[in-house]
Formats: sequence, C-alpha cells, structure tokens
Amino acid sequence: MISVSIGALAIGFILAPLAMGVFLSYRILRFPDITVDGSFALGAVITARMIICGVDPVTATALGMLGGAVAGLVTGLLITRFGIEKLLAGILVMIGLYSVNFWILGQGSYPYNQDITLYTYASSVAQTVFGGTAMQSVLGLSHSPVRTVVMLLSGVTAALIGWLLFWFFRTRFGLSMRAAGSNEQSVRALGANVSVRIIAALAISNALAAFSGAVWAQYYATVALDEGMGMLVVGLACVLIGEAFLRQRSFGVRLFGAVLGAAVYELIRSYIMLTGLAGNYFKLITALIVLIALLLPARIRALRQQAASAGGV
Amino acid sequence: MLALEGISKYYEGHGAEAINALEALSLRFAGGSFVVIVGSNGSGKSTLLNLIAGSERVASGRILLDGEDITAQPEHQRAARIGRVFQNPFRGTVPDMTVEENLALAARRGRSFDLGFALTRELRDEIHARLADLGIGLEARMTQPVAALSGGQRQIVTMLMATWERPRVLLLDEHTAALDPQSADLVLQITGQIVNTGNLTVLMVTHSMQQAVHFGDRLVMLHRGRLALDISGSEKNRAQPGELIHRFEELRRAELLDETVGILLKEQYV
Repeated sequence: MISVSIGALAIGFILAPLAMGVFLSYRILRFPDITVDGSFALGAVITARMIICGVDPVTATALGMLGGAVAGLVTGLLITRFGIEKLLAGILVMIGLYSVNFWILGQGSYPYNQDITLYTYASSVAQTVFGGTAMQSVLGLSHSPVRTVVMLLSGVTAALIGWLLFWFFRTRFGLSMRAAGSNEQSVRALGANVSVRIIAALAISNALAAFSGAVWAQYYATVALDEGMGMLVVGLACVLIGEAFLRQRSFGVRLFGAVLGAAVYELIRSYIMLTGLAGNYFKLITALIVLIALLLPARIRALRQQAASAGGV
Repeated sequence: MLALEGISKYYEGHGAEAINALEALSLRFAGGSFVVIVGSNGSGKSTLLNLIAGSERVASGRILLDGEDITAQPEHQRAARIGRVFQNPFRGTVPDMTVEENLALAARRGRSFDLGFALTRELRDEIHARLADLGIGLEARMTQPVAALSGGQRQIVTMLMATWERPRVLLLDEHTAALDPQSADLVLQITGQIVNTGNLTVLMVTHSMQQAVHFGDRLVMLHRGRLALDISGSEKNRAQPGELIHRFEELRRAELLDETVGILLKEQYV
C-alpha cells in the first residue's frame, strides 16, 4: 500500500506542472485550452528525439518544454492575431501537433531501453542513497527506492515551479496578465497590450504541459504519440480537486492547490486501479470527476439556500 | 488643453444610408475645466468620449492634446494621459483581484509592466493613504476582492484608478447612472474631491439635469451629432434644470416638425 501510494504521488507530482498549466488557461484566461493534449506529447517526443541524438536528458527536457511554449504561442497568435475562437484555436493546434509529433519521432512510439534519461539519473540517486534499487523495507514499510526518489525529486520540482509562478503573479507583469484574463477593457485602459498577455499565458501553460509530458514518458520509459490524449481533462480534474480543498483561499494558494489536486487525483486513480479496472475505463472516471467537481458547488449552494429558507419559515 | 477640430463619425445604418453620429464638431476644453455634457439618446455623447479615448477612430478631423496630434494614437497609447470611468461599475476594475492589486495596476498606467514586485511596501502605504483621504473607510478593505464591494465603492475605486497617475483628461461616462441615489451622491461627492486636485480637464456625460446644473463650470449640449448649446461662467451658474429640459423639448419639437413636413411632402408627391 505504501509503495503504491509513493508511486501515485510520484506520478501526481510529475503531472503537477501540467495541472498548474491548465490552471493558467482555465482560471486565468478562463477557457480550457486543449492545446495541452498536443503539447504534452510534443514535450515527450522532442525530448526523446534529443535523447536519441545523444543530448543529456536535462537539456533534452528543457528543449521539450520550449517546444510546448512554441505550441502555446501558435494557439495564442491564432486567438489574438487572427481572431479564431479560443476553443477552436486550441483544437486546431492539438490536431496539427499530432502530425508534427509523428514527424519528430518518426514512428508511432519509442521505448527508452538503453538511453540515459532522467529515470537513469533517479536510479543512480536511489543507488547512492538507499544502496540499491530493488524493493526494500524501511522502518517496516516496503518501498521501491527509485519511486521514492522520483517522488521526492518531482515533488521538489513541482514546488519550485509553483513557487516561481506564485512569485511571477505578484510581479507587475504577472498581475496584468491576471487582469487581462478577467477584464480586457481594464487592461487596455491601463495602456497595456492584452494580446501579449494572452500569448504569454498560453506559452507558459503549454511549456508546463510539455515538461510534464517529457518527464512522464521518461518515467514510464515509453514515448507514445497518443499519450497526451485526455490530458486537459486530467489537468482540469487536478485543478478542481485542489480547489475543492482551497476554494475560498487567495489566488496564490489556489495555484498550489493544483499540485495538491494532482497528488490526490493520482492517489484516487491508483487505488481504483488496484481493483483491477482496465486503464482505458479510467478516462470515463476522470470525466466524471470533472463533471462532479463542476456541478457540486452549485448544488451545495442550492441546498444551503433551501436549508436557509426552510429554517426561516 | 484638449482640442477637437471638426471631428466627424459615421456608422453604417440599415441599408446604404450612413448615420451621422458626430458632424464636424469643434470644441476646445481648457486645462482644469470641468465640462458637463448632456444630450438625448443618439446625440453623440458616448461617441464623443469613445473618440477622445481612442476606442473608436474619427472619420475626419483632428484631436489635439496639449498641442500634440493624437488622432492616430491607439487607445492604449493615450491611456497614460486620458483616464476613463464607465457607467457599468464592472467595467473599470478586475473583480477577482483585491482593491490594492487593482490600484497597483493603475499605478503603472502608461508605463511598462515589468517583473518588478507589484505591491511594494511604499506603494501599499501610498494606497492606504490615498484611500484614507477619501474618508469612506475603503483603506480597511484593501485586501478584499473588488467583487465584494458595492457598486458605488467600485466606481470610487475605478475613479481612483483612472486618476492615480494624474492624467490630463478624465472622461466620466454616466458614471453614476447605474447606482442607487445614495451611492450616486457619494460617488459625485468623491468626484468633486478628486477633480479639484491638479490641472485636470474633466468631461462628464450625464442624463441627470440636476447634475448638469450643479456640477462643472461649463455645459455642452449635443443634439444629433451637433453642438446645440455651450454655456459657461455666470450663464452656466444661472441655468436651471427646467430650462435645460425646455431646451430639449424645443429641439425635439423642431424635429417632429421636420418629420411631419417630410410625411406631407411624401403624401403629395409619391
């Protein structure tokens, strides 16, 4: 059980940047940007191509992230420069990326066998710290050293990214970006360019999704073209679960809520998977989680009002 | 000094006919003057403010601010020198951001939004001081989202945002029309406080004849895109709401006559 939970948290923290990226599009720009489905895979395939070419995994992952930023930039330009509807712009770029990803990878999928990836690094850290990579028992609890290392490293990385974003949104540019998503008119009245802020937000959002995709593929040792499918909805589930805990809090706290949401989401997923459910069924469960998270607050408010008016009579 | 030199604006009507929103309007507003603009619906009041702010472009004519031709400048370039408050209290502020965050944005109006920390201690102190100056207790609500404020309070925050960086021109576009009478009074009182500081040219559009006679040092009435009345000084001070309404009626009657003549002509000749 502990081992499963550590594994779930490792994946949760790997997905946390994606969740924060979705928070940016969904909560700041106020639309769910499906470009992330494409850029999640884009990050993975660029990183794989670079690793195959012998680039070290850290640089390769950074380049994958950069690719995601470019994808977000394209969606942003379609919206601001060409006036394409926001959702449609995301859909177009996502579909287009599928071919781009195939072109970059040159095949439908690629297994990391002998390549040096971030996972290789994590293994050697585990070797040093725990003296081995096989399942072992610490204080009577059995765990997989590599998973534990991945959980710790990706947790620290997620916290670092969250802290950077938290800091960013307290700067003058970050503050104006939040304003641009909420009230374009007020930002124009301040003499600031709304389009630049929309494009920048989408670039950051998709860079984060690409980062998650790149690390995810290295953790599972497989790069697949369709690995990004449904990732927007996963990100939404993480954001909404996080907000269920931290709804009334300030903006910065809700941003970290996405990290918490990603961890909780993966814990839920891993326990449901223990029941032997096939992975493909979990897409429906994810969709239901999002649906419930969207509907529940309004239902609770309605019930409270009913209770209040019933109490008043 | 804000000068409008023969500005015109047309809108596409139904069919081929273009509707004149403003027709070769020329006006000069001195620095520090408080001008009240009245006119019936479709008289061109809002168009006038849109053209000055730059959210719409003139068809012909020039707009000069302190002698500089700003006719071709886009809205965001003019923003540093022209502040604006809209009728809708939801338009000027960012509702889910706090009062101090909104004002921190306003403090950068017309300057770059860089990666410096937005709410420095000095700025926070200044925000607190300026809110306290208003004397309505808003300084105690700095860290609350603007959405939690009343419509009147929101308009006051918007007004403070519009004037924070001391613009040359302040456009008030029926900024009390959506408020209840009590809030409207409060907003007008604060308007007076803010306007009295500095060499600010204020253009206030209003539907209220009471406001039109009690506020400002000059009154401009527009009708069908043309200047119908322009009074200032003692003439403005003597003006009564009844007289203004009478003047409106006169204009309307003249128009009705025109239309009747048109119909008569049509009946005889078509």
